[in-house]
Amino acid sequence: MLIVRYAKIAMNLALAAFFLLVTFDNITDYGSNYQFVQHVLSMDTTFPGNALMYRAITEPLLWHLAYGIVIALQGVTGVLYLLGAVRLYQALRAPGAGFEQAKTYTIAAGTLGFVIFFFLFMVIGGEWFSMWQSKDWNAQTAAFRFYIAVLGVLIFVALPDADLPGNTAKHGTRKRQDADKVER
Amino acid sequence: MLITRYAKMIMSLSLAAFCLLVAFDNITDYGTNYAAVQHVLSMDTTFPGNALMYRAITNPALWHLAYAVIIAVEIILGFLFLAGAVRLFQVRHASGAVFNQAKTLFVAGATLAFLLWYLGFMVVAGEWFAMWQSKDWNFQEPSFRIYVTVLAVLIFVALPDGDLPDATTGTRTDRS
Repeated sequence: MLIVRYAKIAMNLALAAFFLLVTFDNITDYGSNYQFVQHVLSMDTTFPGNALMYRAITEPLLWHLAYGIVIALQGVTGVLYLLGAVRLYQALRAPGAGFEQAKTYTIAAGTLGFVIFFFLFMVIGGEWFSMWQSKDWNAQTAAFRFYIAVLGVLIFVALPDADLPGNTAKHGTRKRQDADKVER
Repeated sequence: MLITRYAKMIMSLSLAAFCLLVAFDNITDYGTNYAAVQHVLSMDTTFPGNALMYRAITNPALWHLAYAVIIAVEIILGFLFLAGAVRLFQVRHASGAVFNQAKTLFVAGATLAFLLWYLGFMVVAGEWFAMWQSKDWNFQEPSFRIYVTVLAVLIFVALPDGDLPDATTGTRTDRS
């Protein structure tokens, strides 16, 4: 259905807007989330006397590096979502198989978005650096909201798209071309 | 599509990393979550005078046992997700039917994870031991996050994968 294809494009654009805006804000308002990275990596607000403190990173250079990597990955994800929307739009009226093929960028974007907010924020930030123990510097709920949006859209976009009602004629043409090629 | 197959492996690996790290932390930093198990099972922070207190478990041996079972399940989960990712990697270029067959370990892992964080934490801890009544020792929020993540990844991974197009087909379909 065409509306479903438009829906997938619209959601890609919305996620592109989110990731690009977050990237832009993290660059132009560097300090706000830098504090976050600083507290999480230095583990200075985890439970006093917990047995995992050996993991704490207190070198400011590494804080900047980690933050830089997160911002870069967010930027890449935003661009991938944007490209994903463009590719889907180009294949808007293609047969189902063609539209399926056009999903490469959006699936890459969804995977990277999941890696950022689940693997980096929940696994590394939340568990390795015990961010969950912190009352004031715990980004788990925010990260969860982000990657659940990413995952939900990924599932919806990945659902197979069938041919559009108008695709039958084109299909015929393509098959004839195929046959030509085989003959040649 | 190959990218979809890789996406499924990466998500399985991420879940493996999560479960193994949580298990490792629970073993090496035993005390932190042991306190949680203790408070939940003993129901010492539920509403005063509630009618469900007969369920409270106050035997420390049983606290340790319950905690050990949780940690053991987390370890099993980690290895199921890891093995699930390896299986998918092995058949990444195979036909759709073979790739779909290779999801067994992952699906088993996700199901067990759902049972741990939904049945174990929400049903047993949350409702049976009335953890929801506690202000300080209520783990419904984090449990919800974990099983919803597992569920969403499970749904994505379980979506049927078709055959991979060969190079020529790919180009042709792209052009149409």
